[in-house]
Amino acid sequence: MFTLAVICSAFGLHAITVKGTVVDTANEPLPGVSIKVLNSAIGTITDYEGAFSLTNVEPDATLQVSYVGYFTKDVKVDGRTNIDIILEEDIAKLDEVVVIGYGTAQAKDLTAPISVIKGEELTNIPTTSPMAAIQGKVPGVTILNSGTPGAGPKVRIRGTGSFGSSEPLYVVDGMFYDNINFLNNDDIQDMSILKDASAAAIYGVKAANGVVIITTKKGVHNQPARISYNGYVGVQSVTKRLKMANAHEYATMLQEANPTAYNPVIQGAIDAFGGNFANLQFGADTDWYDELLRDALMTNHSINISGGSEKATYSIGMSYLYQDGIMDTDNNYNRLNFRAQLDYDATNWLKVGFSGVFSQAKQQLPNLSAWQVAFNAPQFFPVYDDRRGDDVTPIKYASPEQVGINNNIYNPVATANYTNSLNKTNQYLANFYAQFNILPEKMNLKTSFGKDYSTIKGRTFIEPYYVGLNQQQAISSLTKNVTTYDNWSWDNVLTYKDKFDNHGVGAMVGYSMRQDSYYFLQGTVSGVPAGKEEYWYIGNGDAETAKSSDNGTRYRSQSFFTRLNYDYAGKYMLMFTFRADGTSKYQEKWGYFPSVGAAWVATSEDFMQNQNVFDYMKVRASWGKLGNDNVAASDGFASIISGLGASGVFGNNTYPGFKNTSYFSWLKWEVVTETNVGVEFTTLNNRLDVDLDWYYRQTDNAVISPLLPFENATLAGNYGTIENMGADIQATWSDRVGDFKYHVTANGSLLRNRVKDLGGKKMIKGGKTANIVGEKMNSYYGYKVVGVYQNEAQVAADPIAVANGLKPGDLIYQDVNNDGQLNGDDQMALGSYIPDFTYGLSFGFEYKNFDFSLSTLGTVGAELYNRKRALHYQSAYYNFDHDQFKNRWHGEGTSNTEPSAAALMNSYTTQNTNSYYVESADYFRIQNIALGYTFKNIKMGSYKLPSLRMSINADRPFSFFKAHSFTPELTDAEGWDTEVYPLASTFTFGLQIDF
Amino acid sequence: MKTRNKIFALATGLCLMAGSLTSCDYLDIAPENSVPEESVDYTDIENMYAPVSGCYATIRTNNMHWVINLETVIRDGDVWSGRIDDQGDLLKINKFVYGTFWGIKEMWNQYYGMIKVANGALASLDEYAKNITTESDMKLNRQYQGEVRIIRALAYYRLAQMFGAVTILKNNEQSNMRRSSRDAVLRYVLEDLEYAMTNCPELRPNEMNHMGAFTAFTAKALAAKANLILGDYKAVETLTNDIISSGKFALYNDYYELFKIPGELCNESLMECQSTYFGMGSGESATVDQFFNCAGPALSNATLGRSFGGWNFVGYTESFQNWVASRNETVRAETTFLRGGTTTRDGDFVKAAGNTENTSCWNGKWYVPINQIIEGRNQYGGDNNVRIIRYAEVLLMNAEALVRQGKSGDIPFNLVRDRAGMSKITGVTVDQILDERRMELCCEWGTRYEDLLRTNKANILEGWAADRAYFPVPAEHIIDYPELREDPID
Repeated sequence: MFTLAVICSAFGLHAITVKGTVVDTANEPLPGVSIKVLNSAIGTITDYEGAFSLTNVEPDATLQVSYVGYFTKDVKVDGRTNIDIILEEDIAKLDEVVVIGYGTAQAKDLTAPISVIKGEELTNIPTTSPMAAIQGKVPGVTILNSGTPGAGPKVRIRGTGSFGSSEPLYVVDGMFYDNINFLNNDDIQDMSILKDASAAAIYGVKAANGVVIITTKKGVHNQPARISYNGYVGVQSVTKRLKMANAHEYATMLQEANPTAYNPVIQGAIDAFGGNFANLQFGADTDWYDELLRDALMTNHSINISGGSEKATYSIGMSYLYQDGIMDTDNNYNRLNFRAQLDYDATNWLKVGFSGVFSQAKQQLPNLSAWQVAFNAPQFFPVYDDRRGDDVTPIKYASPEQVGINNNIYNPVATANYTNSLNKTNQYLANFYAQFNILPEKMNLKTSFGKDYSTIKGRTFIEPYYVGLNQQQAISSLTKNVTTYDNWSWDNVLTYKDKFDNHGVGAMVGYSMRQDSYYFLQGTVSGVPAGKEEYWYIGNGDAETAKSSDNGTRYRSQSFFTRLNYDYAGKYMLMFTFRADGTSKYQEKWGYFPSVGAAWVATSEDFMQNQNVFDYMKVRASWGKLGNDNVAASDGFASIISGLGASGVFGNNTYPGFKNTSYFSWLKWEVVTETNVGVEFTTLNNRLDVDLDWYYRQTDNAVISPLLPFENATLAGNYGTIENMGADIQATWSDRVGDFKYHVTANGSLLRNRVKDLGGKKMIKGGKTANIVGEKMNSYYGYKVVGVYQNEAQVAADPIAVANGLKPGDLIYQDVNNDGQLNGDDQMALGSYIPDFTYGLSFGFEYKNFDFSLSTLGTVGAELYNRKRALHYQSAYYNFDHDQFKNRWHGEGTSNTEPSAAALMNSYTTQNTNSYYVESADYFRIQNIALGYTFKNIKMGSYKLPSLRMSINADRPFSFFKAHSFTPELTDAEGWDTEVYPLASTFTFGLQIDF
Repeated sequence: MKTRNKIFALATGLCLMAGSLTSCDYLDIAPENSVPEESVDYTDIENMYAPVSGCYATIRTNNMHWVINLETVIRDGDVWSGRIDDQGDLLKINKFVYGTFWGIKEMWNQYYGMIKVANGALASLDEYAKNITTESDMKLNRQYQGEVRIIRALAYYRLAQMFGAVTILKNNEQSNMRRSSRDAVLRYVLEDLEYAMTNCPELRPNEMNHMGAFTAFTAKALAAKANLILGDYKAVETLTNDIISSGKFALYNDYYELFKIPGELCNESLMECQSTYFGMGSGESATVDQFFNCAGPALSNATLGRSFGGWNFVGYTESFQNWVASRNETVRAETTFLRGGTTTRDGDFVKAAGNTENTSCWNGKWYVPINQIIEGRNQYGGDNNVRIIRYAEVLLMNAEALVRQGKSGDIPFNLVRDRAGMSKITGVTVDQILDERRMELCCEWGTRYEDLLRTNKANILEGWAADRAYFPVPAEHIIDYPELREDPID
């Protein structure tokens, strides 16, 4: 072909101009389709009417027509000057170019399960972090969102495989990250989620929790500048409100528990704020959550400009996001991002490029403890009390002391407001590369240098205030800190691919060097004058109280890696990858991570040509090893503890001392071995696409920290083995009926998580949960409630009840060994926050200028620990939630599951971990509903606006769950529900304009 | 072809560059911000006190945990937790039902924490000893080892007092955790104290270079306490006589101030846990954390315009208050009882409990007047020291040892009574001494419950039974070390 073209031009055949349009099978014009003249630099993009025009085309040339989501088509010109092209939709996205580690591949050639999310799917979903926007979209990827403004979600890919961090690795334009909270949804071109070991093993020791590769937006060759604006503005409102006991209900419970003990406080509230003791009516009845919650604004605006010439492509963008918190105090997040990308073909053998992101964010942090304080505070005192004395400053908040409660209960509104904590983040990501084309289209060497530099400046100021004896700050306190991350990496990759008859071969070898540095500097001082923020410098405080500390880490690594692949006639594919990772973090420096994968495209076989059940079918199998170096580095030597805590006082001073307990830490990375078997097929005339994968992954050398003998301190070791086994399925049906184009997608993930071994121990107990061999990780461990004592006879007959002085209404714990005593032997695993099944369902359609989508998600089989309730052990005066009041035992036969008011305050209930506090965390949620209308070709005088889409979007409008929580979606990996910032439903109006 | 060459040259250059950087040295960097243990300079003899100072810190950070404070005093019938609405398990422990109260493991772990630091410090001192060239430094090394052993002995004494049979941890790597009997533990305590008596100076703590550090007399006093439990009255007599005849110790004149800032490290003090704000109204502090605060009621002082609030734990029982009243105690009653609704001699108003079921009579020995706490600090108890062994206890032990051996204990006994403004008693009996101890030492370090135990009178306590005399071994530890269930070795 190539030679033919050369000969033709040599003979001077006249080049022609080719025009035409590109449409889909429904005859709808397709804008943005790439049309390239093969073996030349000539190319273009279709306009908004799907039209294109190419000049200087040889009459016998071939046009390659490609468009995301459609099969690529090669069209021979054959001297024609007008060519209309029809593209067929590629529902299984077989032709899609997928970004894989250190390279790209076509989806049809993959041997591993890789999910791809396109940037368009993230646009205008109101989240601060792009990962939050993919919740429920990808089977096997669990996202746990937080309501805190600007906080990123927790992400789990295929279960939890580490007692430490289970966060995946993010690779943004080649640089490694722990999270991508600095990116705007609109910065992203696409995201590849490498789920199994064969895909992720190329990232070696960092890949055990899965890898998410993010490519920021890029321009396209031969495209005039495209300017687009995306934006939304909306309001956030709490998804579901937890109803607490009101003052009357609370007082009723106190009286039921012990009238002599609690009547003084009830009387105290009535004396202080009015009311009537006889019928327990209170002058003050403050719903603290009402006081703490508000509706809040969220908005995002972004502008992108991209395009390209024959030799260069570019893309540049800017975005601004603002999110106000739904806690009714000063808490919010804003972020300004700039992004640029440039690729340039300097010569025919050299290509250079750059991509960069600058992100500047400011996060005003809420005081999360206010959520718990509000749960605990009884409602019988007001927010403010103007009658209070001058010692109450600067705001006349009411205090529970006015009622007669001096401990543990605080004014929640004051708790929320008397804190001022701010983080300012500046983050720069820059990547430069040069690519040498050694053999055109076959072999190239790419060298790239990436640099990530970020600083987080934190400042917390607590002004002097007085609410009560137990809620005061006598002298202001100021804490300032600066955290710096300074990472670089240098990657060199040699890629070769070729085809001999039916044999396709590919090889990649690479070498990478990296260094990650972290530095933290903190200073604190007391006595800085309140008032203006400009005063808040350490020098303005009491010099004698000024203190500083710092810390840092620096790790280096170097790696060699390779990928070899082979395919025969597009039927059989084989892939092998290997990475050798060296790291300075551990004593054992080098780790080796191999993987293999194979795939068979059954529908390419001759014997499958005569069937019409499957349009496409591929069977895959893979195996590989991965590492997780997200575990603490070991010093490799025992270290000593010094400082004030290790220094004795002699007279009025300390003698600098040290503690040396000689424990030696020696850690190495965790190793995950994973096997994956999958099948994907399309059937029913290319309308149903199904992806199904089964996997088994085992983590060995899992780092866990058993307690040191007789100590509260722990010492980490590679003792654990964890298994995660599961299946991911995704099925998409798409079809069109006339102008009505629709799709239905269902996805689900089954997961079986178990602790397999703990280095010989049966159980290792942590502060919140226990890890027990044969049970799910992080299981709650305690007594199982089997009923409620109904009457005195039942109490008298049970030796456990007698020994513990129980009364009717107290909980009955299962006496597992039936020895008539309740002790450690009767405790058991009571559930875990790791779900068994997660699922998502979505539906969408396009009809004329309308588009609509609805998505839902849910989880089954997870339990949370209602720490909000369990905290009642701290104080008998803590409030109850409304259901605790409504469902309580209050006489024989009233309940056999819910304790009485007295039992809710009894340490037998509150001080023992038990199943009363373990609640189902299952939920089902309407995740997103969006309705859009697109105006095309609006004329504005002489200017034609190509496209304008308006949309309304409801994010998380409805949630259904039973737990006594604001949300069962917790960012605490161990499922403790306390101090949880409620999630918001967000209702937005969105606008997308292409200029 | 020229271009091709250029590219190959470039590629080769890149590879060479990569290769040159790929030496093993690149990965060989030391961890940041971590001082290896080996880098402690054991030749720097000047610094030899550092591990000892670390042990003294544990008295403050471990022994003074607030829950230990409560657990120590609430089983003797004279004192209770003081609150029905918080830490309810303490009410059951009052009746000798221990359950799975969290504070049991906490107490156990805090003391073993002290022991491990002491074991580590002895190892460090051995390292220093290897580099010592002069006899005077060697003597100092032995003195320091003695101080560490006193601290270790204190931890074991407290464990034996609270748990009875416990594990003797000969070194920090020990893997068999089988327990030793209470008496075996006390004998181990006496071994450590013997060493300290030989190698520590015969000085008062307030005469030490390291102000308040423990001395041979501290060791003797603690050894006397251990021997009292073991019933070796001869040894108690000898040890206490040594302390008395040194002439270095005397009762502090003002019983009220004895427990407060003016009484810190006075001549009555044999063992004291020190604490400090460094004389500053804000900034860092080395204090006993919540030890005093947990036992504090709400205080306010109108003149000073300052108010303090504690956690309101620890109350005296009605029966004890009545018993004190029946003795016509005045000096000790004022100091001991901090009653709600009254104003102290320092002008602090004590707020009565809102909940009438809670105590309104707190432990005045842990009360520090607001005017003694530097402005800017708002914690109940401030930076007061905690008295652990006082000369008064030595005198009462001396009296008891004498009387039990058929001699007169009147002289030491009446010294204690006299200071408290109580009339002299002649021909004092063991029971009178036990009553005096009940009064003089109430709510300090669990002497009352121990006196009841060693004199077989504990059965007067509600719910008491011989098999419940001690706190149980924490359930969590039995899971990890099943040998803790085995009978203790003697």
